[in-house]
Amino acid sequence: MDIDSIKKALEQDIGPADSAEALEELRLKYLGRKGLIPQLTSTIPGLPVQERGSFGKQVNELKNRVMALLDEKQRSLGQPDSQAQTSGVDISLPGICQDLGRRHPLTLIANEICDMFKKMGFSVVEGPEIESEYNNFTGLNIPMEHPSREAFDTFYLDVPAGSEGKYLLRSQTSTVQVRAMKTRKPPLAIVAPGRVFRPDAVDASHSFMFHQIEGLMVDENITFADLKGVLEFFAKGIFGQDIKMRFRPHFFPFTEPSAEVDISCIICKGKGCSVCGKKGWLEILGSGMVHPNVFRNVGYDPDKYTGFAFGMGVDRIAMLKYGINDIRLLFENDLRFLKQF
Amino acid sequence: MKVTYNWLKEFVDIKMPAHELAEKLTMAGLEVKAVEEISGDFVFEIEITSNRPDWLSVIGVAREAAALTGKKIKAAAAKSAKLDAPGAEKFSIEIEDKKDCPLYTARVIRDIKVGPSPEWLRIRLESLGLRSVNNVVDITNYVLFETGEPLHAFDLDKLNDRMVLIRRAVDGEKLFTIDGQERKLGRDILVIADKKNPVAIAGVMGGKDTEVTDETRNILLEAAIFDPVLIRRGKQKLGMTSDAAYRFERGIDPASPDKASLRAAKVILELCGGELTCAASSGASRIKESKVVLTAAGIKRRLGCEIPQVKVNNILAGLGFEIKETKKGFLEVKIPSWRLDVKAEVDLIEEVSRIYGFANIPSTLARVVLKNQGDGAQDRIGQCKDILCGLGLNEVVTYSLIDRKSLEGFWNTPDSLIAVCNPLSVEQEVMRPVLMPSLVRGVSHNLKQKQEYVSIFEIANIYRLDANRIQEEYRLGICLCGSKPVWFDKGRIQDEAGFLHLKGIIETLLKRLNVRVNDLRFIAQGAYAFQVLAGDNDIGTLRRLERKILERMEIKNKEVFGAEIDLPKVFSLISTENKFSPLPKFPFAVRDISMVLSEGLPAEKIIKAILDKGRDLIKEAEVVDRYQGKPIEPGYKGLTVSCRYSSDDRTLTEAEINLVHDAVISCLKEEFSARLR
Repeated sequence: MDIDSIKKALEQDIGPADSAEALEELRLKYLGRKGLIPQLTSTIPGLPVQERGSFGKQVNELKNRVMALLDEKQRSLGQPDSQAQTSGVDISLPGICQDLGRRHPLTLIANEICDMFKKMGFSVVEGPEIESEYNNFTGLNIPMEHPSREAFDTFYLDVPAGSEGKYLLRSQTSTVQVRAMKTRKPPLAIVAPGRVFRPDAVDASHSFMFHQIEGLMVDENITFADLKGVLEFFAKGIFGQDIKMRFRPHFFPFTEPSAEVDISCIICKGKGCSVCGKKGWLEILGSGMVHPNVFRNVGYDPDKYTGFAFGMGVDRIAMLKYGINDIRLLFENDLRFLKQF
Repeated sequence: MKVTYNWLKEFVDIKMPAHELAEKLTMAGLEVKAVEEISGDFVFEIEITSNRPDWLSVIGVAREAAALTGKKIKAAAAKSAKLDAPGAEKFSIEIEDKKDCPLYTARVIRDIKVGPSPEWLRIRLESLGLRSVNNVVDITNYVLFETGEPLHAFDLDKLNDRMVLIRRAVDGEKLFTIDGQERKLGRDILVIADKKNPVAIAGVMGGKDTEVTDETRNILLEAAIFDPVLIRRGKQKLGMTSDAAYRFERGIDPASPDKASLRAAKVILELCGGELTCAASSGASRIKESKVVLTAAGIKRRLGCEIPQVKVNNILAGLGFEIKETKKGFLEVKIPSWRLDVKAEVDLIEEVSRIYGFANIPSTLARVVLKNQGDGAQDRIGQCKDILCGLGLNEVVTYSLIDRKSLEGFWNTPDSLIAVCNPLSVEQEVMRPVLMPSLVRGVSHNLKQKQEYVSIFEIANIYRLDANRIQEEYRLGICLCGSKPVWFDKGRIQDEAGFLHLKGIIETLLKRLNVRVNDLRFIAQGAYAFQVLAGDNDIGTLRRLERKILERMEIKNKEVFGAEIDLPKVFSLISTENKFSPLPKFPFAVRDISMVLSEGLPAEKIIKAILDKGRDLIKEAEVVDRYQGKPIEPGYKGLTVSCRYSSDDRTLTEAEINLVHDAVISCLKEEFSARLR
């Protein structure tokens, strides 16, 4: 069909079309993939070069005319413009969108904690989970006969011992302190999140694998007062500005003085409840001034440098913040659990 | 450890109420876990840190109370002539190895009357949770709690040959302990023996045969020092525990055996009558006189504040340290015998700060010196997690330890596994060398919970021995299983997870990390896996889990697809260059080619042919549709490729495009027997 006959056919067809279906039929007849107008277009390459331009232009005009007529007819039929309507949409159906996956709650909490220290200028570093006896114990001023070195408290690995003693699974992230100081010079401000392992039988509050974040700051003139200030900034950032804090003397071989840090119970606000054992306080971390022996072990001059270190359990903090009552949920990876975060 | 309020008051003049004292002790490092009112007294349950065995006694806690309240501790019991001049009776003590037992003291008391304890003694022991036995045993327990030195009383007449020998047990020796159990002894157990047999497990528990009963008339009172490690190992080996062992394994004040023995003898003479006829000892208590210098400058340097000298002096004196101010700001401090833990200035600073109160030390924010401290991979790993969550995957955390059985089909070089020496269960046998088994287990768990679609990932370490070197590196593991409902405007379809989903995830991850993906290749490895190559770098594997593995993991009628990606390798390929390409100045034209092709023909061959033939005019060619099924006959597939024509220097004419397009189509027809649809 040539352009003119198509024009004529169109004039004849458009009048009687009185329904949406009839209009759709016409749309296919003229504009569809094998329709009359595409057929015209497909003849263009066969034309002499000088004719192609003007012919193409005419085809295009025709195409526009068809579309205009169809639109006009549609309006005259009083077809509802579906885009402008809300009545045809059941907005109570599920929204169409791909669901995002979730980060594990332990990742969320570890990030939150590390971010708080990053704001104060700390860097996030990491260390291996397979460690030497030296980095896990000796370097940290833990005596040879200390009970924590026994197989009841530490997983040992069946590989030949190296120059730094037997290999083991680190039982604390404090190992990163030793590693960091052996390879870098002060000033130093680092936090190190990671997995740790202890041979504990698994129950609602124990796991043989759990997570800690270790922190260390060393320079000239770092004091216990700085330790207090930095940890207060952290704890208030994580648990809220209105919490109360207390630093309770404690003992760790690698710090002196050492302090355990309690916050007022975030469940009962310090009144006493089952979560805090009626005490009104929750222990959240251990800390202290780095012991001079640890500095000597890594080749720092204890008369020049001072520093503080701290360590906390990520699983415990996640459980407190999210109200999770069984640590096993963190490792079971049930999607019904994971999708709540 | 338990002490009572009234008992403490015998040593310090405490005016404050019990709960207030408990709070003060807690904030000085003796954490009072509970205060319970029993028989008009208050029992404190205190958690004692392992460095302070001297706190495992009423006197030890009383010293703290004295320092905290500014009171003096009351002098120890007065001496008496009766005790200082024992009779001339001889008793033989032999010590096999002074390292195992540096000091052993024995007092013989004759003609005593064993019977029930007076009420005050019974009540006091019961409030600590101890059962009253008889007056002699109760007195030894009482003095143990008061002084921290464990004591033991033997029925002297049951000992063979008026002697004790402190020696290692012989393999095969046995002893009935006072709790009625038969204990099998060996070389690593230290015992007290008479001429013939062991009569007590040193530092842990006495024997049944020689215990003090109502018939006992003469006793041997033991007070000694044993090697802490030997006692700890022994009690662990025997699976026993006792108040005595608890103290010996932590270390005993070397001055205390004789003092405690005298104290017990005095009370025994008072309550049971009798006469002290012998005081013997072997070995020597090694009391080292040590002095440590404490400076005001040292305090300020470590704590960040000054503490008035008078306060420092009072605190140390209250705790039993002898002090001498050698010059202004310098204290020479003599360490008492019970303070085995104080060795250096920092230890004294701790003592001062503890009693002064951590709450009284100000809070400051450290002055930070800005310095590049080097970043680990944490930021990159965090970025990966964000991308993967954005793609709908959920992060999991699975155990780093695994059983060998679970590794079957995943790891075929058992020699490279790192085994745990002391696993608690078979699930902790080895360090995992791959993530996949743990992830498949996660899938299995979720399928059991009736999840239709499981898409999970983990970024964690894997471990192996490589030529006897320990290798520990992080990997990304992904597991997909089941079908996901995908909604569109007309309804929903089920999208069944497969290899192409894994491929899509990995391509997107790499693109977002700015790794070039043009040379990413997926090479079939056997019937179940594809190796993923980026250029020449092997960056991981995609696999469909074999049926027998799935059966072992209790997964039925489901396909599981997994990927394990070498993230450190991927990170090494990240390009820091990310240059902007100018937007095209001239319009483009799109031509689709719908064709029918042989089923086995890879799409990438078609694309490559189109791009080759399209010379410089086809800038992009991508598969936009794929179809199998009617009306296309079996063995064939429909493929639609969209070609994008454009030029950087002009608007292409129809004629130019048609010329190339026709050539492309005839090439497809000739080379691949493509039929246009």
